[in-house]
Amino acid sequence: MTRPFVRIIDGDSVIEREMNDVEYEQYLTDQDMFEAERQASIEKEKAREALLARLGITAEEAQLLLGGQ
Amino acid sequence: MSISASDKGMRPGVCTSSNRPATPYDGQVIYETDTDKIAVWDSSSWVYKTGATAPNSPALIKITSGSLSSTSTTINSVFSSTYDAYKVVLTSLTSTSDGYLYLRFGSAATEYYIAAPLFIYSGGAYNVGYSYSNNSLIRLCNTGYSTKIGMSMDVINPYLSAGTCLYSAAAWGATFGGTVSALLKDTTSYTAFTIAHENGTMSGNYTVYGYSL
Repeated sequence: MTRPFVRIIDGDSVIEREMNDVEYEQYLTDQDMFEAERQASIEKEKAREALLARLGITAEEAQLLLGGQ
Repeated sequence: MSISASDKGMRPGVCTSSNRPATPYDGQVIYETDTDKIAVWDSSSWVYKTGATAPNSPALIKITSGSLSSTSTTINSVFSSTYDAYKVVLTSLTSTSDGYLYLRFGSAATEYYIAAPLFIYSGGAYNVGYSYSNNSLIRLCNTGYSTKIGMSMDVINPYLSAGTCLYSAAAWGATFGGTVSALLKDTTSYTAFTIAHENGTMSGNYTVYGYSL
């Protein structure tokens, strides 16, 4: 499996290559963080919908209650 | 020397603020046509007649431009002691997948403090956006939609051994907009930055300008 490519520009020099070990390690760390945030966002949305259902109101009505526009 | 005739006068060297004498001597006087000011060389800098120090560069000066591609694009040797601040303009941003475009200075992957109030979406309500303490990157915008996104950001003091600040407009998906304010809270001097996409490859253009504060 090939690694993601990076483009490195320095003045007129442009290099495109696969990520080296250090870059790839950072990339994987970033991907783990993005995935964790995506999951947290999904869980938060589920909790919000569950709360609205329990209260028996819509998202728009909740915004009105909270003074949102 | 005495000049008393009403139709006579002294005329100093005439130039522009970007074309001043390369090797000035103490007390040398010039008139800048673009700023409409007279400046005197005080042995270390050009001082305007008003007493204010003449800025090195009163306007935006283009440093470099090019295209973004791949998963990440690093632009090296762009920040220097020449300018205090930089304007980075990104245009025609798209990506192969929905996701965030993010930025790092040098290889710094910690100490980013960010506040990004976001507003406007089709439901008529607003979103408070996000904030991060000690994050590993700065999210700039969300790409992956059919609309090509453009944005402009100001970067303050990246080259100084002090905190680096970033202020940017943010296009967040198809219906969100807002701003991103970020501080890289370390004392490293940076000469490079990287733009990357979290989920796929990106395309677009960048232009970097320098200016003095």
